[in-house]
Amino acid sequence: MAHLEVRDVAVRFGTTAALDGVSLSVSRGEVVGILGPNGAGKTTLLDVISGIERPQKGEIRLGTADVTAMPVEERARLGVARTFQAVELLPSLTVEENVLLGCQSRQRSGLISDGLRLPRSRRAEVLARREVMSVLDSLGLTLLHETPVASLPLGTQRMVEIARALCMQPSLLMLDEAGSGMEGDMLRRLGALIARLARSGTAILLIEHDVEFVLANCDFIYIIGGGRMQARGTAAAIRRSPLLADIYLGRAIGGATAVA
Amino acid sequence: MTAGLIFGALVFGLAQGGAIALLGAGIVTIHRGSGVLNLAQGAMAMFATYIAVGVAGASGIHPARSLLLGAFAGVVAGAALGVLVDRVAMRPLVGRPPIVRMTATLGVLYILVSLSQLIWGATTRSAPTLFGAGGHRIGAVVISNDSIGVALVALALAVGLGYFYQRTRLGTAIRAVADDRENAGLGGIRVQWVGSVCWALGGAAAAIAGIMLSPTLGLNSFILTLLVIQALAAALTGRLQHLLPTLLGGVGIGVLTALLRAILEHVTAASAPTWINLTDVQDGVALAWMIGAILLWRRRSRDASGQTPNRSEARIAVDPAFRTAFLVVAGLLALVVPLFLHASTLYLLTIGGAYAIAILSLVLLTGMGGQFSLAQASFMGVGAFAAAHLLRDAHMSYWLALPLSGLIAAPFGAITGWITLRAQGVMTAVLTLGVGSVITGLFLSATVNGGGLGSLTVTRPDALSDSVRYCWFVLVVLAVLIAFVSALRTRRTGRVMLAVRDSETAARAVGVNPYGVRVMAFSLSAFIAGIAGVLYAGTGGVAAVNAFGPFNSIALVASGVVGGLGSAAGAVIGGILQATGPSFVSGLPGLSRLADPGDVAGILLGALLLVQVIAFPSGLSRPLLKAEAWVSRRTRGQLGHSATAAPVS
Repeated sequence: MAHLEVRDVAVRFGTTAALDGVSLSVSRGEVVGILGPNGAGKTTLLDVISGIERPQKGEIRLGTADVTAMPVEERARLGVARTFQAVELLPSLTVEENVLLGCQSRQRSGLISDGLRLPRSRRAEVLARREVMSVLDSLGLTLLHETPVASLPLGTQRMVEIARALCMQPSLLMLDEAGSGMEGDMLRRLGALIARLARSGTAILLIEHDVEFVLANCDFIYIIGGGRMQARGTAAAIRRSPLLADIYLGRAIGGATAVA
Repeated sequence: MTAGLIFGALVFGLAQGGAIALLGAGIVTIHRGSGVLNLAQGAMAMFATYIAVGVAGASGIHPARSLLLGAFAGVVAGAALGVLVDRVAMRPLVGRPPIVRMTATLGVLYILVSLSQLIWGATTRSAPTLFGAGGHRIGAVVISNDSIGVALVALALAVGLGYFYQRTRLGTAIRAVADDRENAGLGGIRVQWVGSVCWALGGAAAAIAGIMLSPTLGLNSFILTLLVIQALAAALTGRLQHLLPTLLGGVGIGVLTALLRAILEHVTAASAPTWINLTDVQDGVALAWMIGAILLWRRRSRDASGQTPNRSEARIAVDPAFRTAFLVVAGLLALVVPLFLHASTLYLLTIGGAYAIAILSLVLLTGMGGQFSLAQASFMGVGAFAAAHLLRDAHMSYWLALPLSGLIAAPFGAITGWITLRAQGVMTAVLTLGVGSVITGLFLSATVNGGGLGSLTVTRPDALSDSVRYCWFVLVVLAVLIAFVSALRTRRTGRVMLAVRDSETAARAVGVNPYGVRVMAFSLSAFIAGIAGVLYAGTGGVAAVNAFGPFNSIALVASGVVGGLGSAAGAVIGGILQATGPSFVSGLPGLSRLADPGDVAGILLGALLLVQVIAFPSGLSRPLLKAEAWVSRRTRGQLGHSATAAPVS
């Protein structure tokens, strides 16, 4: 059974249907990609899955639980982690402090123990920092751990956001345009990271403009347009799809008018 | 009770409500035209009314004409005051976050109140009514000419304002600016000019409201100034944007207040409850109205950017060894200095320590949590009066009463946090102003606490009766609480607070419930403020209501912003500033004979707040911390130490 199950979801903004009867599933260890032109509803779909947007219709299941009505933070604690198209980091904090936030729900320390610097808080902090350093290590960010994120280039900021998501030890990881702003070498590292995470049993759902990246790294691909699923299949099958040319050229598909 | 009494209250309430509505309409007009939420609206009304009364009294012509002349002068003064505020304080802040610009209006409020006390003194005057004494008898009730006149003027002005907005070119321009500043500018509307016009209109409306209300309310520096709370409640009805709901809201608040007061007077005539002060029920009505209005807003109001007046910036790294040395020196100074101080200076240092703790509660809440609060002095008051009762009635040990008083203040903070859950930024400020006035006006001034402007003694234990020892004790508590708040900043709890402050999206995405964090921050902040209140009251041995009002909360925010809410150092600077301001001024040659040093210090603090917000948004502590970091780098270079990564401490 799939880990994430999206069934017949509909979201409407005023009179526009952003999503209209969309279904999708991702299993543990599977990498699923979503392709589609601007305004097709890709980010809205991730928002619905992470809980930022509430669907008017349909159902979202995670594992055995129905999470359709669950707020964002509770889903996060169930193991849903994501990155954002417009990076959501805390600019005045360092890389390490930002990534430490990913550990916060597993850290066993509260207001009193933190404020009084009790051993309990100290232990939790040492443990979390060790974990963060190993994640930063694996992403090649170790040397930057004391740098304020505001001073980093966009591609590196996206890596920091991924590091924060990894520290949540997610069962489902969603990447929203994680590769944009990254250059060749960094992009290859991102691909390797995705493969490694999938092998360790994480369900991965990614949105990407870079069609080649999606075709190279995903097991299964959906093409979305005008708020509806237009095609789906393995990377090999999608490569033969006539819709792919439209996406390469940035043309609207499924009768949708492209809105940036 | 008779129907006649209700009818009388209704008419009285209509008149009062009409004037409140006018004050609220001024707030809305200024907000539409310039995007600023003007908390000094009541202060502007007060100042213009003083001018009106002064001119009327000094003109030396026929009384009826002199009153009209005075009113005219007051309205002109109000408009001029509005333009002045816009040009001097608001223009430099265009494009800054709404909460910053609102903070600047607090500076204006502070200056106007202090200036008015300096010029016209502290006694409450009676202001003459424009509409003559006497009244009309309707059935068993006498409706005063004043009530009828005020209601009619308010109605006429409301109709006039509505016509102005809808039918004139200028009104259309204002509406265009309110809808979309940038596009209005591109369309050829002089946006800044429209802003000034709105400030002038708002100032004139404030003047009229003040002139009409002061005959019934009396005229001093505070009554009209704090009427802004009711006016804000009215303006919230119109979402700070719409005139008609604001006007109806103002009338509704006035009528509701008058009716409730009449009913309560009737019900409690035999035995008034001692735990609540029902004569100041207007603040309760205003707060309830605000909450209702905000709950009715469909979507949460949001500021696009920045919740805090002091900009959030990266921490300044200081070598840990140097920081330790610095703290040791500071500790030694705190130990030695009180021994050599003159009694009056020692008193100021002690008070400054208590203020610093109160401002520390804002460093936590605003600097780390991103929430604005104008209720901190009320939390102080809860702590102080709780301690007074615990010591006097429960004969509790001081050492137990002190922390317990903080714990008693904490739920007040939790409730405040809960009330403001649906609000953001400036809305939180408005709501906390309402909460603070209710806590102080309804509960702290209740009979059990001495009633009205009453006070209770707070006796220090024998071990602290010596003033040097007490000073040490206050400074130790300050140090402990600073250590607590600083520890939070480096641990999970602090990071979670910062996350909620800077990006609620990011916070929720990693599993943080922002509402829980907000309630937690308010509770802890109220706890700290409560402790500060007990220590403050202990300095003079008495908890007095008039030290814990909304105006004191505003002073705390002002000192805090000047000191810098981004760091604990800012709290210390702000506390010292607030305690020593008046005596610093009286030390200036010649000044002490001319004026009350407290008022001059108030004007200076207000001006300092404006300068700070406009020119140095990070607060005074920032350059000091930078200097410390610079010295630490230099000494490290001299000693030849190598930089070591800070271990988890």
